[in-house]
Amino acid sequence: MHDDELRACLLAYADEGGQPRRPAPRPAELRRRGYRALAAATTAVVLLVALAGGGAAVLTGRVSGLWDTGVAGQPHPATLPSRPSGGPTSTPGTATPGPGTAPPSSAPAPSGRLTPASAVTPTGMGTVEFGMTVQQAERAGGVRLVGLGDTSGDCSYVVPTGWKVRVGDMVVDPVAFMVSSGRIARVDVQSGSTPTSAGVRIGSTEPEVRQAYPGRVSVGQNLYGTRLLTVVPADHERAGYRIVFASDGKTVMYFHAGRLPEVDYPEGCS
Amino acid sequence: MATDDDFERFFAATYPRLVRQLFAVVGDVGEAEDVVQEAFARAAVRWPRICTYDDPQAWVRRVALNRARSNLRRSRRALAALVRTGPVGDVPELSPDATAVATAMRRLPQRHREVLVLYYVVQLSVEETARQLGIPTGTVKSRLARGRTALARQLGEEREELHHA
Repeated sequence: MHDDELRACLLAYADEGGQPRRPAPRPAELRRRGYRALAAATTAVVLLVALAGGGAAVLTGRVSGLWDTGVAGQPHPATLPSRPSGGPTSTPGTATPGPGTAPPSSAPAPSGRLTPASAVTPTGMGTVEFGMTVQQAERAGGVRLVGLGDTSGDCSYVVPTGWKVRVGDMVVDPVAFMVSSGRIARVDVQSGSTPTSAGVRIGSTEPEVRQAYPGRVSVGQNLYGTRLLTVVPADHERAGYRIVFASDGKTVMYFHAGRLPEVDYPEGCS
Repeated sequence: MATDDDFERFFAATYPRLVRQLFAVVGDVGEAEDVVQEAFARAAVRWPRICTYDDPQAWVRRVALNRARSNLRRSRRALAALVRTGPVGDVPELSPDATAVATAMRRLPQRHREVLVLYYVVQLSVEETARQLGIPTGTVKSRLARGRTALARQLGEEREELHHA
């Protein structure tokens, strides 16, 4: 069968069978559905965090903090569970600790304990290494990791409890770990001042990235046209890992690191 | 500046086309509507960001494809072998030719169907298909070659059976 004939068969099949059978929803209804899903995900995270924290005071503080800032009702992309690599989430330097949050990310990291100041490398963050299970990561980092949004699939995100920061009028998770097939596969740094081991962080300039990783930066773009600076480790043992900085053309907007292929997923898990 | 009107125009212009494309992948128009609507619901609340992308439709298509893949994994867990051998789902009455394509497509792995649909139905290039799916171009080429061969063979068999029937 020739290519043209195959194309014609598939096009005819799609045209014939793929006509929507239900009336298209109104865009306003789609928006309501989108917000409902986000509010449900946010509430689930709040409850999990509260349970993990083990106190009504924590629950009250978190819930009122989120509602006060409108996160539950009108979430911003920066709060979404599956958006880690889609766009900028903060203005560098504007993140401040949110209600009931951990110490500022500039605080020195106690030995072995994972904090927002722990350095990101191609193979992990602080004492958490890609390839660990969530339980191993919790033990290694001395933190609690709670699921973000829908955790029923093969790929989902977990975030450290107590790390939320306030960015403008939003409360966001500055760091999120992707869990793929039960293993930590990637870390997404979305706001705050978490550094890489070479000292690059959100707000660093592109020349600073190149200077930090001389000769190892390749430039590309993701599916949506966002400029990406990808760092390939120098040694062969870490050839399956990358650090990817998303840039607005001048400075780093956000970045992620992880193993292949997850580190190349353009929209987190989805 | 993104507006609600922009989103409504985008939705109206692309919804039927995306349902058609996803139907060709999943073989079930009801499921295609579900995953495309879910993708648009997610796009609606992210519209200020997504509207700045070069190709917002590619974002929606990718989310819908990922959703369809998740549904398939859930189906696999729940129904195991029935996924491939069970009855066709929510498929309207089709002509004999389209029925043959539906049956042949259903026998292919979803990863092959995705590549075939993006290449033949959406008419993306190999490079664009690779970007859309987030896989290397070499993988697209091999899936395309295997999918094309298998589909052509199965279509031949299906047509022969229909002819004899």
